[in-house]
Amino acid sequence: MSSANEKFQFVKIDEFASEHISAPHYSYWKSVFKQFFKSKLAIAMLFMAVIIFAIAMIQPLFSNYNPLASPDISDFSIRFNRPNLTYWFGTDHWGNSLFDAVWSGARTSITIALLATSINMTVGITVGAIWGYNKKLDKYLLEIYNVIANVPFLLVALMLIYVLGPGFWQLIFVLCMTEWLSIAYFIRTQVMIIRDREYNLVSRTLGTSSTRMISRNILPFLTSVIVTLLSREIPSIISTEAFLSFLGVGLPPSITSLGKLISIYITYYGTYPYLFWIPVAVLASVSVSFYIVGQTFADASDPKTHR
Amino acid sequence: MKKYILIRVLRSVLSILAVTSIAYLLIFEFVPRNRVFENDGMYAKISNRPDQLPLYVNSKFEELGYLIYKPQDELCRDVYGANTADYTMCQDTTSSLFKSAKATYEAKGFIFYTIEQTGYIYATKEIPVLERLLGFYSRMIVIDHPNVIQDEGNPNLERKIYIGQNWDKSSYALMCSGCEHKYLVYLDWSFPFVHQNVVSLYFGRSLPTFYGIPTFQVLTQDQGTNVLKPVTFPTGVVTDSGVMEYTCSYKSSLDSLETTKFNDNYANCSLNRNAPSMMGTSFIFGILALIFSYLISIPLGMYMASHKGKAIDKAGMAYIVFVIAVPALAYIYLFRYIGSTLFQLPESFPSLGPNNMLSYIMPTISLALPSVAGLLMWTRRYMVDQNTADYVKFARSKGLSEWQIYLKHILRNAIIPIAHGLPGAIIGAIGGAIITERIYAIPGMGKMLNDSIRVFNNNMVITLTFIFTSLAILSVLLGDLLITRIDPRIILDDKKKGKRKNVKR
Repeated sequence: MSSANEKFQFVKIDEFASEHISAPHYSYWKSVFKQFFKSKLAIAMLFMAVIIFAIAMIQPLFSNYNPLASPDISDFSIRFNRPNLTYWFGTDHWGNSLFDAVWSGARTSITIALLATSINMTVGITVGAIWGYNKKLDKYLLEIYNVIANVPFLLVALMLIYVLGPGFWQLIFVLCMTEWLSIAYFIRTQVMIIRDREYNLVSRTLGTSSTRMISRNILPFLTSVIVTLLSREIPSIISTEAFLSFLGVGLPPSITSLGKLISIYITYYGTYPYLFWIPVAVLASVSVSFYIVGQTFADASDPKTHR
Repeated sequence: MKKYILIRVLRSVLSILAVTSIAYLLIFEFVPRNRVFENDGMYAKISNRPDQLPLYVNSKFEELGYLIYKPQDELCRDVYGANTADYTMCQDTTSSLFKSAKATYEAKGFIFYTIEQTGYIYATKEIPVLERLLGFYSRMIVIDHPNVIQDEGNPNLERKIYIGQNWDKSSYALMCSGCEHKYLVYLDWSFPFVHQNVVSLYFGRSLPTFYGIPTFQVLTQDQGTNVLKPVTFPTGVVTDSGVMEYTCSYKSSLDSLETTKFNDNYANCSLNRNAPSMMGTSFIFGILALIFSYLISIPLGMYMASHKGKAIDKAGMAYIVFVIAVPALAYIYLFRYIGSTLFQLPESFPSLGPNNMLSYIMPTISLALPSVAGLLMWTRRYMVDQNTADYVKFARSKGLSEWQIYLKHILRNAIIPIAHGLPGAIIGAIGGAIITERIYAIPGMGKMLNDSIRVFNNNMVITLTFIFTSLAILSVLLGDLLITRIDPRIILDDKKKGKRKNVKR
């Protein structure tokens, strides 16, 4: 027995080690980005989104493309040129460079999508958070929602744009008019789910104000849900805008957009297919890259995926 | 439950009325009136004739219901009666008779205008928009009864409802004399077999396209070319004709040809055409797309769930992402391109026409694409979630095969959210129809909405808004009632203990 005890020695207390917390360092946003950059597809799509966004915002500043003016209309040699080194996307029936037209259109489409989405998200999340938190408001807003949600969005949009007439800001208004309500409804349901959880109950008992409850306790919990919503909202707005412009009811003749280009070049669908398919491809690339980046970011922003 | 259904029905009707009223007020208040003339050839022709233009413009506004328009002669006729001495005197605008007529109309709120070039006088009175809205609803439902026809030229018109035989004596029908229609209720071999002409809807007349025809009739009458076939007329004459006897309505004076065929005044018959109406076309596509999307997505969703993580599952998920992320405009054209190059299917509906099966394939697929994605996501999600439920584990431990478990156990439960998705699919199909019908040039209601917006056909836009909204709202109601039939555990009534099921679409 004594020989076994002799093998043990007393160790001095290490003040530094006892104060050290052994959990690894964790930063939320750092983990989010780490998780995001794990996906190669997402990096590629982010790269594409950034490039498309940059070209769409910068190129029209230099090309001075104006859909009402066709400076080379009298030069027949530069009509219907297939894509080549001078005209990367070819030229159209009036001798305009399709490259200029497409990026000018993409600029409008992206601007509209971003503006409308940010308005919808801001209004939708604010109203949705209050809606989910406030039980009295629920009855009235639910009635309004039940009426509006049952009417096809495209029908409402068409009707409103018909009433307001074509125009950039009119189009933004139409795209925001009812869409925020469905975002608010979605957020409301999410808020209701976590509103009465224990940690919120404790927080409320301790006297936390409603604003602080919503902004500090509930909304951060919904980050990944909100990002998912955002990544769906942008393609949906781009799609609606493209379709309204395609129908010729959205924008005035002085502003072009991808949907409008598609509706103009549909005539050459059989004879000069590049005129039709290039705007379609750009439209799809914008929408898909934004969607995939958003979805991956939403997955990454869920702390459960962090290891 | 009955009370709840009643309240829900009332609420649905209120929703329809609210949406239609808002649409009506917005359109008639905010769409500039003069836009109607943008595509009007007549207006362009007389736009430099200041003596005729105001008369034309105001008569059009009266037709559209904006105002009451009284030109000089109509004014005199209303006050003194047609073809009287006073009426002739009144035509002189300086006469005292005209002045007294003018005074009575001014008291009613009419405003008088004089055309400088000719000295012609006319009066107009604006109708307040709320009054117009009330008028719109009060005229909306038209009921046919034996006192409808008031024809001065035919004072001895018999007024009765009776059971009679049709022209070739092959079937019986409920008929009427004195009504607008001759046949009130009749049977024939086309769906839904029993038809009626008693109650009809009226939303105003279509302007400027389909000039002067009631909008509802434009949407419901058959399209295409006239089909001739031997018809036995009431007088016994048999000729090749294109008329449909059941559509015959009252006509005040018959021409000599008609008197040889008809023995009464019901000679105003629609023609038998070879293509379905706009509404019919849209319904055919809506139903085909609905059936197609459920037939594809439920088995495929089940298959994906049972092969989770395998190639088929990944392909299905990729398809869902594709539909959400790619704009509808782009993927419909892409599918149309694939269909036409690989399978030689027509690129537009009119190229083979409505009587060829091939015309229906690509538009139906295009219309079903988004709802397939939604349903696929739902079915797969549900199947995957239920796979680890206790009742499934129990079924598996009993030794049932996977397919028995999927078909008999999980699908039974999954059918509830799937059935509840039905109204969502219908709403989606309405929105989709506006896109698809335009791209494939299908002569349906979705294309009509776009066409009427282009030419500022206000009444048509309101009619279509009403129809689409009603379909959408009623389908949500039916979807809710359907799930209570399928699953008795769901109680929709808020007041009882059961919780209202908010199935997310």
